[in-house]
Amino acid sequence: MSRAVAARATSARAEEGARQRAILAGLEVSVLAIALVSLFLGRYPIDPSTLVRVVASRLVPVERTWVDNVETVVWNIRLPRVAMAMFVGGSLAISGAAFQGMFRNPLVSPDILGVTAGGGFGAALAILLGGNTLAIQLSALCFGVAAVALTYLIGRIYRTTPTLMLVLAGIVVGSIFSALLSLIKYVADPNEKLPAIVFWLMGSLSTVSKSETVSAIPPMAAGIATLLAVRWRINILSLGDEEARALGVKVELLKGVIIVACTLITATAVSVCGIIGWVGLVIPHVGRLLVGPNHRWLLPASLLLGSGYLILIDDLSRTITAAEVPLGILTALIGAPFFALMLRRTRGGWH
Amino acid sequence: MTATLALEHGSFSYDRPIFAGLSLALECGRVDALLGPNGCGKTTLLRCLGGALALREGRVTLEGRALGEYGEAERARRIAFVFQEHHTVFPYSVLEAVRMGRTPHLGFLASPGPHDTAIAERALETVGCSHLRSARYTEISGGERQLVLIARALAQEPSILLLDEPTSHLDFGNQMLLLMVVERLAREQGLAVLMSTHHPDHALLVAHHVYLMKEGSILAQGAPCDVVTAEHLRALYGIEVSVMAMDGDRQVVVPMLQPHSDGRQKREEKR
Repeated sequence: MSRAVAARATSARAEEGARQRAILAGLEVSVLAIALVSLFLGRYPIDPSTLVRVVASRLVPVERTWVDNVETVVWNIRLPRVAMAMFVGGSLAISGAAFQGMFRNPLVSPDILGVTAGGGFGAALAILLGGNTLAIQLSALCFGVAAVALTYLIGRIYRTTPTLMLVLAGIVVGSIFSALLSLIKYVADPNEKLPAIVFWLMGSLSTVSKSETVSAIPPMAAGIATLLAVRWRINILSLGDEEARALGVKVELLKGVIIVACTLITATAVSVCGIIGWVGLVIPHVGRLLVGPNHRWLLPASLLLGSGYLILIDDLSRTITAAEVPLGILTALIGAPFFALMLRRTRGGWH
Repeated sequence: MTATLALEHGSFSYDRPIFAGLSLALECGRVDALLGPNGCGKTTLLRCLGGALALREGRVTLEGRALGEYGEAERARRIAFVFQEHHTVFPYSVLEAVRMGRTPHLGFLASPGPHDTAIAERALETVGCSHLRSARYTEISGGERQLVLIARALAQEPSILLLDEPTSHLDFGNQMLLLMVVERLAREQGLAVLMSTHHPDHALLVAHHVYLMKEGSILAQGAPCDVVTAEHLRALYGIEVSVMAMDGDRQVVVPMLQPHSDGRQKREEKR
């Protein structure tokens, strides 16, 4: 090979990755800034210098000039909540991007295999049976995972999982769990349990505690790390099963890894904060507008965009009215029109 | 010359038998053409040779070893397959699409590096499409896309290239361009090429060896001038043709159909 070609290849590569790298760096800074600003927001006023000192006191010795309430608000309420919004938003967005690539369909969202329907049923069942928060979360998690496992079993034919079969199996399983959820709502006590179920289904981060953060973030982080590790191979998977096989990819293994990672993070997210729609569908499209369709850049971009977006939505949810507005309502009210606007701008092209 | 990829008494069936008792062998630096009517089993045969489908009977050997013994990536480093139908959803850049050919050389968690990019660039240059490197893969013409897919196959650095009707959907000029590229790859890079085609002329133009396939068996095989004959084509397609010698040792296939203008003249005479 001539040196000129090699040189051109190297410079082209630099110019190709440079823009994406710069955008990702910008997003990282923005997410951190949004997270920091969000710590100030809320009913209990805390001035910036106090906040910085409260946060810094955990790392370096700082003279204590604030009351215990401030400490509690920052460490036990706001920080867990912001951290959870960050992880849940990022998780939903990155699994949406991975699924859209894997299913070769930009209209797919993370609940395509029935995880949210299963999780919703699990939570409602636990509420009906009078379970505590932990029981509700565990039940949501287990039924979410069980729903995806059922979808996978139905969609599997001759040791392969054709995309169309998986999608159809997901619709079947989703419908069954939706019907079971309706049954639970129908028999639930309308004064006490039904409102609890309905509120849970609308999604909220208002009850997030420090211990929940500690238990929910590791599985989400593991799922995110797995998806980031295989992100370039999602490009190959998006060419279709047969071409991916011809290129030497173990298609079933890769699909399995992606499904397990996405299910782990979505089921965990649903179990902690209920059903939050639209993030996993819309954010990857915004990501494509910014960094292009290559999953090598799209997955990290979706992760960061999703994180920033859900922190902002949660800020809105706890500040616009005295009572909290459920997250699921806001993500749909903002996400759906935004999606329509974007579709019109790109005229349906997936750029 | 040693056979790189060979089929020994291979049979395949879905609900009905597709082909049975087929044997063939590809050789380095040689272009083999597979001719046959629609539905005669050409694509199925290619997919069996590429390892996408498993034979019911017989075996495929790659460099003397059974194809089934190779791992996916191991196989894809030796055999590249260009599919007839290719649907893309996401508008990757042409260079990115070609770089995907590097997959069998990369670890499970790896992304392509500068070395892979250089190989992809060279593959694009080989098929004469370097100017398209930054274009969106979904927005280039059908002819360009076929060449880019061949570049992707070359990025796999294979010794065997399987092409399923590479000239279908292409205009006349692009058909010739593609055939020239295929011929050059065999001659200059020593690739063993097998391509299926609907055009006997294409076989005459670039192939060194031709297989005529009908209803799941090989009707005839050998050098193009011996195999692409009027009788064979009549047996294969059920139409009358004449194979004519051109200047030099070139031959062309001319269908002996009732010329359309005659019919019109007769109608006009009636008036």
